[in-house]
Amino acid sequence: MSRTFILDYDLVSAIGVGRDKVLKNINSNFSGAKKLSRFSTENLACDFGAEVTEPLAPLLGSFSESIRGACRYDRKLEMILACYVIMQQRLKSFFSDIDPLRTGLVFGLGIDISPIEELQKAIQANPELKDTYRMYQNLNATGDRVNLIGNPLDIPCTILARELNIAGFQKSALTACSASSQAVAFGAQAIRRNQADLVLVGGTDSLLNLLAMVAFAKLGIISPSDETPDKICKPLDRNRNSVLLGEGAGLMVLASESYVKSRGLRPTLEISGFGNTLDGYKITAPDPEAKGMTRAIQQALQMSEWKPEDVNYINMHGTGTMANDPLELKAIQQVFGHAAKKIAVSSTKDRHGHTIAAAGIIEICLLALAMENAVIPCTRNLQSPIREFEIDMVQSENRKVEIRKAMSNSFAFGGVNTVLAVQRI
Amino acid sequence: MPFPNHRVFVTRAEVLVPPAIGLVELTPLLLSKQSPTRTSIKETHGDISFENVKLLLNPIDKYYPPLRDAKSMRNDVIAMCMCLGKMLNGSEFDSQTWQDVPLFMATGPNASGMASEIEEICQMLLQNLDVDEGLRNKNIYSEIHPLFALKGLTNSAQAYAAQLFGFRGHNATYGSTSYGTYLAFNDAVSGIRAGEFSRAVVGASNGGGQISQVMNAGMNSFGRQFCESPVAVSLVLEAEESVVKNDLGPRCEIINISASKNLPELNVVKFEKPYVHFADAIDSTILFSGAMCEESYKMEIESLQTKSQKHFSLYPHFGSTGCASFLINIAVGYQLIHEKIFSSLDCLNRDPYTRESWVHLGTAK
Repeated sequence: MSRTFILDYDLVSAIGVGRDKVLKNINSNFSGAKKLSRFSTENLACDFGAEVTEPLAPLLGSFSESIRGACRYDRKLEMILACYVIMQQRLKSFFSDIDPLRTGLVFGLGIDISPIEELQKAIQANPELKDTYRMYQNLNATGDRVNLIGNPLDIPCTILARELNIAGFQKSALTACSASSQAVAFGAQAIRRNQADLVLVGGTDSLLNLLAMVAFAKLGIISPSDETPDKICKPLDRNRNSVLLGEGAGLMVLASESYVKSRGLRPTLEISGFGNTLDGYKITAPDPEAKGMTRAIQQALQMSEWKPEDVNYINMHGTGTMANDPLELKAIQQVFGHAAKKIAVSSTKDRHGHTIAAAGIIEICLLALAMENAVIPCTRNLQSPIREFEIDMVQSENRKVEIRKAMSNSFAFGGVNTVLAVQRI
Repeated sequence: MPFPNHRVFVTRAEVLVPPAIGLVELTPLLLSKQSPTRTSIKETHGDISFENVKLLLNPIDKYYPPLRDAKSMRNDVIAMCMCLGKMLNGSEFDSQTWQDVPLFMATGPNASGMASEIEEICQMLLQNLDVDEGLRNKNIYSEIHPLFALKGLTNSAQAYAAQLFGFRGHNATYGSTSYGTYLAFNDAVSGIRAGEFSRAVVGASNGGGQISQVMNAGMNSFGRQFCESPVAVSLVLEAEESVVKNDLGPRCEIINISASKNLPELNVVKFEKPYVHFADAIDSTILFSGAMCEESYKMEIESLQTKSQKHFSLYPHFGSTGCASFLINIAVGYQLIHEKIFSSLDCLNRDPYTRESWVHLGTAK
């Protein structure tokens, strides 16, 4: 069974486009939360989010007109292609001189919510589109298999598989907030099973459009507040009451032992295990006993062959909702027992927001940055920690400390629990 | 290969196809010498012609999910739950049995199941084009139902299957074409072959409808006339050890599974010849799928006529079955082998990006 090494990674997020900027912003405790600027939020109770404000369109010049057109309507596609362009030279080098059938691709992807504010502009410019079907039909007459609006969710997989000649498999995990953690897990699994030597994993998502903002506000997971946007989301805090919706994309290259050896590479991090379970409780609520979360953490520990006291740090899912945060802490306490006192935990979602299907990849990229640079990012807005657990919650300031073994948790809507275990080599 | 290579059997299967037909009723229809008829509604918008087939989901059906859950389910999710309910009903396993069994699902365009909500929002926008942004936002806020986000959940079928039937283990939900269903099935087969688990459940549901059709319009090499059906399909795969232990007496074995290694095609190529990848391997009656319209179905027939084997498809009965087409072939193949109508079958599928897959089913010895 092959080990799975992390060769490279990069990300596009509200706290930076490119890993160097992200690291700088982690060190300075910068938050990407702000009043939204991409569309009018007039008359909406919640007008904040973690937006990627750096222009991405200039990065996409090498793609076809139809792909660039689709990016104008599909923020998810735009961000993951921008992330690809940032890494393009490195990726082309990894994916050259390898049998394409020994390569694979797995992305975690979110639902396609067309930005209706953009559609409205298109209709205003061309009143002939005033019939829904005609609108689709005319906007989608691109001459190839890429639509301007309403592409199949896995369109980023198709485009990037072609860019890098990845012929072994192209998978898209569609499990909401766990999607891109599952993408990493499934990529690692393919290498462990000897189905591939090199796998590009990643994810992308954006909820920062009018329809998604309204839908999530109505579901009650974002709440209005008088505080400044960067203070509203308070994961693990007793006064938490709102998620910070965000957007982002990330890519990571996973490789087998034989690939690493044949190229004389010396990676510093490896995926040592993962856990993947279902709550099967209620789609609208997490299991009050946190059984699914607990089993996912146990599985990752077991697959990694670690003892509870080996773990230095856990990057928590920590969304800042009333229901989820204490259950995640409960699961950690149940698995690690007394050892939990010495395990540093934090959530970084108060900085980059909850990026749903991209959350797993953004957070494992942050974990990799943290491990490579010996820094545990604090939960920036944590002031009054949830009391009933004996767990080392990192608050107030980042901690400069070496991290040897760590975990990244993703616990999704619908009860999908995915945990990744990463270790320094 | 460093792994053991356990044998894999299909031990249960179920489908739900229009108007409300299960697997046992489906096979006589497929084998009937009468010309198939499908009850569909035809619609034309510009140069796009739709043929919509309806799946009847009766709330008083024994397998219809509880109404408190159904109100936040899309129709494709309700269909998936009904299909799984029927498949698992009367099984010798209780819900405890399923808690460690991996669940691999596939889904098509989720928006298909929300066509009416999306159409209402579009109409509201279109009727209020000249209002200021503040009023537009207010209108949208009042238009959107509190369950809208929940209904759009991409892993909704998997989440409800776990809630209703007790699945707690390893899982995946792949999209968005029939290739995604191949991946879900292949994950189950690979895991059993490698000895990682001894039983797995695989499911797929297709929403169909106009949103799917306009989404796929650019992928159709032949024009813009579509016929697609909403369907759901599920099956149980088991290792030999599990089959013997539970005295299941299997008849249908997965002998071979493979996908073509071509990259997904983004350019529209007219008259692409289908089913070229597995020509040498096929030696049984062929069950095929992939066409989204009459012209591409004819092209498939033409391509397969060069082979000597008999072949048939569900297309004349239901049109395309979208993302579920790969798995519905396996379920039908299982039933035909189970009823001893065939001793082996080759299932061929092709997705809109021209990725092909092949599964060879045989009678277990």
